[in-house]
Amino acid sequence: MTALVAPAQLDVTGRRSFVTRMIFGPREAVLIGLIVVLMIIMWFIEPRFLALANLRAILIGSAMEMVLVVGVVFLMVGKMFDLSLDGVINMVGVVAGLLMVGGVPWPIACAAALAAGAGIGLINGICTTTLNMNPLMTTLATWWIARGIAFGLTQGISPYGFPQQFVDIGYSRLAGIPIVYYYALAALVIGALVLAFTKYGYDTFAVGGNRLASRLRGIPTRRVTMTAFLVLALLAGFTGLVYAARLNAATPQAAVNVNLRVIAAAVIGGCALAGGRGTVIGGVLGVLFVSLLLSSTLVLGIDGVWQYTILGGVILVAVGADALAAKVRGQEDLE
Amino acid sequence: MKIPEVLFSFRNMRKSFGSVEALRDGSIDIRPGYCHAIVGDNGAGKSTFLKLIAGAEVPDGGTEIGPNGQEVRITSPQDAMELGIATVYQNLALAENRSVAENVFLGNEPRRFGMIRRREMEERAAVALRKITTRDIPIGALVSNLSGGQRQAVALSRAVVDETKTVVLLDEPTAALGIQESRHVLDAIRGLRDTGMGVVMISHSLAHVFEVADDITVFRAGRVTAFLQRAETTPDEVVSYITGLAGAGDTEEDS
Ligand SMILES: Nc1ncnc2c1ncn2[C@@H]1O[C@H](COP(=O)(O)OP(=O)(O)OP(=O)(O)O)[C@@H](O)[C@H]1O
Ligand SMILES: [Mg+2]
Repeated sequence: MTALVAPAQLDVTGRRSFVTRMIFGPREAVLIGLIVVLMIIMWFIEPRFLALANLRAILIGSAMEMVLVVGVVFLMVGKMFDLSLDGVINMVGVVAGLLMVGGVPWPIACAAALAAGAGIGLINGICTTTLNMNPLMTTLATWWIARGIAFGLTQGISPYGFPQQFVDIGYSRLAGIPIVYYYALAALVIGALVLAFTKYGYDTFAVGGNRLASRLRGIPTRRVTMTAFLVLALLAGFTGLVYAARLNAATPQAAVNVNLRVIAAAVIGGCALAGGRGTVIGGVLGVLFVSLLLSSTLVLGIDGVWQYTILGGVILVAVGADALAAKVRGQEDLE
Repeated sequence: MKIPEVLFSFRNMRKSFGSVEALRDGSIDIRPGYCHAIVGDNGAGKSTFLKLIAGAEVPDGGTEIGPNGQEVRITSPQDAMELGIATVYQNLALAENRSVAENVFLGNEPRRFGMIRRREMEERAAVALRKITTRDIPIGALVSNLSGGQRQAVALSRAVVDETKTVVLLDEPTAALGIQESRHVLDAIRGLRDTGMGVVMISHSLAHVFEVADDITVFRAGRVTAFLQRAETTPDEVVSYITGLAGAGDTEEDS
């Protein structure tokens, strides 16, 4: 019998295949290499780039995006997509801010605002599963709905001046380390473990690989997708609270293009629109890479307005490299 | 050892999709250690009938009898799997970008405290595959990189990966496969039957049917028009039932 499987695919125990696809593979290694190279280049051009203060600023600025990307990775592995993040972030921040300024105790204000955010996630989930609507169009619509609510409620006047305990959500330190780092670390560890080792993680990969086959094998495909949308909306809502706490004000423009940056990071980190692919570590490395790249362009004196042109180019390169690699392997992606 | 005569008996099953009466009257007995072929023209209701047994669709009516003669109700894929029925759908069985082992267990992975038992999964998948095929299929390979026959072997091994399955349903298991690959799959089907499982196979290839089937049920326009024993019939007779030249008097022909 001839060998029908390419030698590179021979993996008798499956151990390597499992680790590289679900935890840490070549893609993640390349990203770490790129991050190191980028830092070395920047160190030659502008040594101050590597100054602790600058790196710290980059890290703090991207910590919540690392939290968000974990949710996005789950969604994209399950072959779904969410543009509404920005809207949810801003809406939840504004709702919580208005309630607090109106005299509602901060924990209740936060809970109510998160519930509103979860509502958007629920709409996303119901539309895309029960009603079988296109996720791009659905979440584009809910993005604008949430955005509109944030702007409508503030009417141009942003609430500010929140209770100290609320501000602590974004500003306190634990053992001298800013609390947002703990959020990012928790999201990374929990997300990576759930995706690679639990039934939910396996179901997510299965749904992304073949939704119908998954349903016929008894996987609750709707619940899997619904959960992913809901968790992501809650992560976005939490991010909205943190942003509001850090600004000590809630503006409908606290998050701008965060959705695009995070989706870009997930794609650079190995997620595919076709679903069934991606790792949590890859997504977090993607956020790190995107943040470093964007801030190095600023350090290089490139005007901030060019950020997204550069980011768009990077996404094209990342997706293009994938397509090229697939072609070289002789297997074109069906989607 | 007492082996039941009949594992499952499905009687007068019906299913409509809107105004389309896909299945008007479908019946079958599934016997352990026998391969039962379902044949019939395109649109005769064969797949619909199989989906009712597999729990992929909910029947509009009919009687479902389980191994001990008691009535059962299959309304979801889980129901069927819990009753020991494994199903292999052509083309829509496997999740791409997942490994062989992951696909063998898809949705039913062994786990403890919610965590997947990876090692157990891989070992059992390898054992199951060896029962199905003599060829080496690396269990870590992505199914996207396998040939059609190998993919079918992966789907088939779901039927033997745990001992609880007594019936395996196959919808056109050899369609779109080459001669060699078909041969491997037919060997696997014989293997399943010889272990005492009840095999139900839909096929358009009478050559394959006559090679592995013991019983043959013919569907036409949503109804069973003939039940034949392979040993006592000929391909010509089967064809005449499929096309309606024989047995037409037994059914009300609608145009
Ligand atoms: N989900 C569905 N919705 C609407 N109509 C359906 C559905 N599934 C099947 N049908 C219709 O029911 C009839 C029987 O279909 P079925 O797939 O059971 O036939 P089949 O015997 O398997 O045919 P083939 O040999 O072509 O696979 C066909 O007319 C088909 O169009
Ligand atoms: Mg069919």
